[in-house]
Amino acid sequence: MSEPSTSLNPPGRNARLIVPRLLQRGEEFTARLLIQHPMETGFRRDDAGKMLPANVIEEIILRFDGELVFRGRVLNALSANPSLAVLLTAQKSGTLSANWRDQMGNVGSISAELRVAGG
Amino acid sequence: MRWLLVALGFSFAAYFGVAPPGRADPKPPPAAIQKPYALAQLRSGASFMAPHLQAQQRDDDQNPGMLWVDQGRDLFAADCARCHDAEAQKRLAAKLPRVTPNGPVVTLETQINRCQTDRVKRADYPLESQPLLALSSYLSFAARGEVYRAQSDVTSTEAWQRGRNAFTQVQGKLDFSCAACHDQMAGKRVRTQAISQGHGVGFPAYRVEWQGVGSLNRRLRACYFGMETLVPAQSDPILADLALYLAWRSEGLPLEAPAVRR
Repeated sequence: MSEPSTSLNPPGRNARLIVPRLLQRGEEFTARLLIQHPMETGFRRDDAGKMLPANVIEEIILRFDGELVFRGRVLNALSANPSLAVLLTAQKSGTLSANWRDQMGNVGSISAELRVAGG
Repeated sequence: MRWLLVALGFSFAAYFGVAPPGRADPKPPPAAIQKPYALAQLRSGASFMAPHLQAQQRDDDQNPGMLWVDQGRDLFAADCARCHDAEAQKRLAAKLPRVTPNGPVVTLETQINRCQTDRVKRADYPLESQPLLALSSYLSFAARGEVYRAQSDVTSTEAWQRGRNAFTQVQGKLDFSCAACHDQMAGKRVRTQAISQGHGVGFPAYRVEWQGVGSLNRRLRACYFGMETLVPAQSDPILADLALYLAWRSEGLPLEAPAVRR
């Protein structure tokens, strides 16, 4: 597999989206998403003994040039700082973007450029 | 009579080990001190981990510690790059911890905070705070693969001796010392877990138990907790002394932060 390229990260980034640097048209590849998130289950207490409110990522959406390519409802079976790998196929160059939302309503996003040879 | 008193005074001092001021402490020469592990025997903590954790550490795309590295790189560019060239800082983490003459041990965390107060003119980052962990992770990552070289006279410093004493002293309800396991039982198991050689080269590391990155300081306090003994405060200088001793003990192992530990 070709050398991976890291994502175009905004400052204060809290995620990584990793895709191969160069793809052939129609080649299957793995997009890997790593999100910094506590995935608080709601069953833990803080040092003072107070219950920590549940807050897990609810939904992760991947879009390629605006078109939906993956939608995942992820609940509390994921550990903190979840890592997600999605198999995709690319027909042309474009931008792969990921968006997610947690139970507190916090949203996050990240994107990476996909380059397809001859596309 | 006065003569006799002076002589008595001297013998008294000699008897109770009160050295007259200004004279060096008689200690064995530093070259005589043997390390617990020879260079060829050194094994980093990763080799005692389960295969899936080793794989996670090897692959930067799966290593959650890299999220802290990314944030540290941004912070470095914002605050530190004004004075420091990122390339020039590559070996910084491999040069620390260091003993300063008549001063405390300088760890990577104290060095970052020293810059923070002296140059950036801002308040210290609290230990284990997100920005400090991000910067220390980034700088340790930049020195990945480098090898720490201890100062030549480190074994004659008081800090190193305090560190070694803390490492070899039996303490706590279980009658353990750090050395009892990590020097003599490495590779065997305590309860269900493999005993490592106790090197700190992977820190700051992502620990699954913490679900986040933590410093060697935090790891050492967790060791005290596991030994069922009094846990020193975060700011206790014994933790920096121990870090110095550990770095000397693991001299020759390449740095591998941010490592993944269980």
